[in-house]
Amino acid sequence: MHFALPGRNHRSSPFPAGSVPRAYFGRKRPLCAVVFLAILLLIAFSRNSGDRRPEGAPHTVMILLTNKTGHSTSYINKVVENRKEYAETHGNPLLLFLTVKESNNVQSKRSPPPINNVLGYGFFAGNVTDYPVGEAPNGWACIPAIRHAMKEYKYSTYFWFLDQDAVIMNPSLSLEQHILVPGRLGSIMRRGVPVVPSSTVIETYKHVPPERVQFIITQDAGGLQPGSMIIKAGPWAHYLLDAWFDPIFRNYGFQKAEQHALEHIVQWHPTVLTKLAVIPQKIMNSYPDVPGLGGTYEDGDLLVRLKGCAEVKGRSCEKEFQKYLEKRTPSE
Amino acid sequence: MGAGGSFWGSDSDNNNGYAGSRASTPGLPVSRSHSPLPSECPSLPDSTSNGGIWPGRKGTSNGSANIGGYSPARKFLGKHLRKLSTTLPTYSPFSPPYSTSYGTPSTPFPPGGLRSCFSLRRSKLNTFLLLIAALMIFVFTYLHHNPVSSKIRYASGGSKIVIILAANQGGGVMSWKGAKEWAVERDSIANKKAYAERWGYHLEIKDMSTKRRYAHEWRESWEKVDVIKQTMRQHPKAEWFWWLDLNTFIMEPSISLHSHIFQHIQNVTYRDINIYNPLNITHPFSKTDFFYLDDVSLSPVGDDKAESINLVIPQDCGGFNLGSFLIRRSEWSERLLDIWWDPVGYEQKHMEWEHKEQDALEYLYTNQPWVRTGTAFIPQRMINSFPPGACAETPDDRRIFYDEKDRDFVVNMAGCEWGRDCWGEMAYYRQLSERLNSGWWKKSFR
Repeated sequence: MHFALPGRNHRSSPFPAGSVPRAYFGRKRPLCAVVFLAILLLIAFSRNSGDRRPEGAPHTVMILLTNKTGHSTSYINKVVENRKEYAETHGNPLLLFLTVKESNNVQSKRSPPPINNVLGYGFFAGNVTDYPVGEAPNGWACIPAIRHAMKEYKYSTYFWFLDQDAVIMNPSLSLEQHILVPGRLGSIMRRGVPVVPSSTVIETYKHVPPERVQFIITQDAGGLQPGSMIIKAGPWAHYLLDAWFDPIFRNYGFQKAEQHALEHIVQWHPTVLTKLAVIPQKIMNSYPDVPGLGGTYEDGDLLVRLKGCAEVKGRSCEKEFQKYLEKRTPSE
Repeated sequence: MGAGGSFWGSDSDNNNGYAGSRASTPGLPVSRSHSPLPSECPSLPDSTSNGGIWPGRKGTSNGSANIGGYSPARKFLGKHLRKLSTTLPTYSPFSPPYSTSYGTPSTPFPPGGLRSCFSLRRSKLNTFLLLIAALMIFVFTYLHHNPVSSKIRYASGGSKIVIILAANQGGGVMSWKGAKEWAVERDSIANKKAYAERWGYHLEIKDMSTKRRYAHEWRESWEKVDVIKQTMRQHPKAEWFWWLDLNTFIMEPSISLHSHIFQHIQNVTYRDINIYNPLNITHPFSKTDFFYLDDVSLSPVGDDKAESINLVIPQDCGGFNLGSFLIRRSEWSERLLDIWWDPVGYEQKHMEWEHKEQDALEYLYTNQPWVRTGTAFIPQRMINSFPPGACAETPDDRRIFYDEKDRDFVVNMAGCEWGRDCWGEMAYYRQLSERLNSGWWKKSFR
């Protein structure tokens, strides 16, 4: 019967009972569930994959470039011990990257350094490697060494290069808290100071946010001191290191080799200057108590860098090293 | 259940036939047992009663019930309308719900009927008009070249490309600029202007006159780098910058940079310079000598990603050619433009670097690994074809010279100011381009 008004009972719906089977919605549900599960899995997978950074990859890497000429093996070992101790005190963040440099004539097999990567407590005793600096002084080798370290530890962020002739006096100070954390870095950065103290033309920028800093270095009265410097890995680091290591600079015959080259680059190229932070010298570059040097070490400083111990007559790196080693704050 | 009378009215007789289990409620249309089939329509003209469409004014017959508020009244308009009404769609309870006589996909339009015919034509006409309008809009905003389509092209990505044209080379300081030099400049500028307008690109015409700050021993010939830096500052939103020397001519203005290069930049450029290496640069770096470099720097194709291409340069028979090249706004480019000129490098090498910034770039590419990771090369004939006079040492090299059959994109009459006739070459290529693109389609359409 057809009525103009819909009936009261549900059976007189305009749609015949069989047109949309009830079972249709039941059939759809498993498909919904499968799609939902698939999405969940995708999300979980994408969040976990990240940049494929291995678990043991350290955040910070210490670089030591040793020069065996003129130094005894025991001295080198003491230096290595000193660095190792610092690395282990701070455990996870630090790994040691060691390379031992001999005199230039030795052609040695260059195999990648073995990495002991258990939980980042690594220690590397490198083989003899020779970074090709051409005719230039040996100090230039620090640049390819840093490049090499960045290659070996490609998931690490900060690379701290410290000269061989330096004693870490206060291992309880962690690099992060002492320097690297943006809040701390922002407070110790020296803004608006001449990059090279003797020439007042180029000064560090006043408004660089610490997060954007890629290169941390100290300066003494004579200029920038690349004997203790921190570089953040990335394309900018490659740019700086490659530009710095340019054969033109190596062959130019700067009086102070890589130091002058670095000062030159920093002053002439604003793309380098913007990422530079100059921090007070005593933060990571205290000097021994030698008249005329300045920046003398005081208790509580992180380290002593025995600047000039090898060049200046009358000084002995080994003796000074031993002296400061004994003065050390014992690590907790 | 009797016949329920016509849909529009009922006979008084039929009222009594309203069967059904339902009583009619006053004021509401009364349910009927079934709607009338056409054959059931009473022959109205004969009847004196009122089984008609319209409620008659002539009073209602006695005892007839109101149906839908209409009284069964005499028909108003005659049998034609009756016929029309009898052909209107009917609803039969015995047919499935959706198979009415019209409204199904197979019979979308009602059969017959003047009114229904008219609505069909109207919707067909409407669709047709709509299609025509859409076609016209498409043609005038996409295919045809007019200010509107140029603006649209500008807004939809053309504004990201800036053409930097180096004009007024020398500025008449070192050598007199006569009528021919002015003519060459006019032609070149007009050509780039038309091209930029057609595709919605920015055009920057830069004055490259000899300035004191670029005097000999003082950054001589390094203006290009400074100009690019300045242009990047002037166009903060642009992405790609195409540098063109003055003695160039865009032969095929119907080709956009997007379709020519950017759409498939990975396919048209090559990273490994060994594909064509006139300078014999060792590439990639030797793994034994440069063991300390990272994998990307040691790889022949860098990281092989389109995003890392920041500089696209062609090479001619003698090395890199910066007469027509592309540079992208990025941090990499910022660093390159910064390090490109260095006083120590300049001091040591500027006598050796005959082509100034071009040779400096070759030097940087050779010695600084980070430069290689952002540089890509493009076959010369894609943006920098030479006329037969240039690269005269290798006249048979098909990779260098402009080929009319292949309709090369740009001609760069490099070095025409030394020993060749710039004006003659420019006029020749301009006329050639006009001839090749003389069809009405090419001229005003894509």
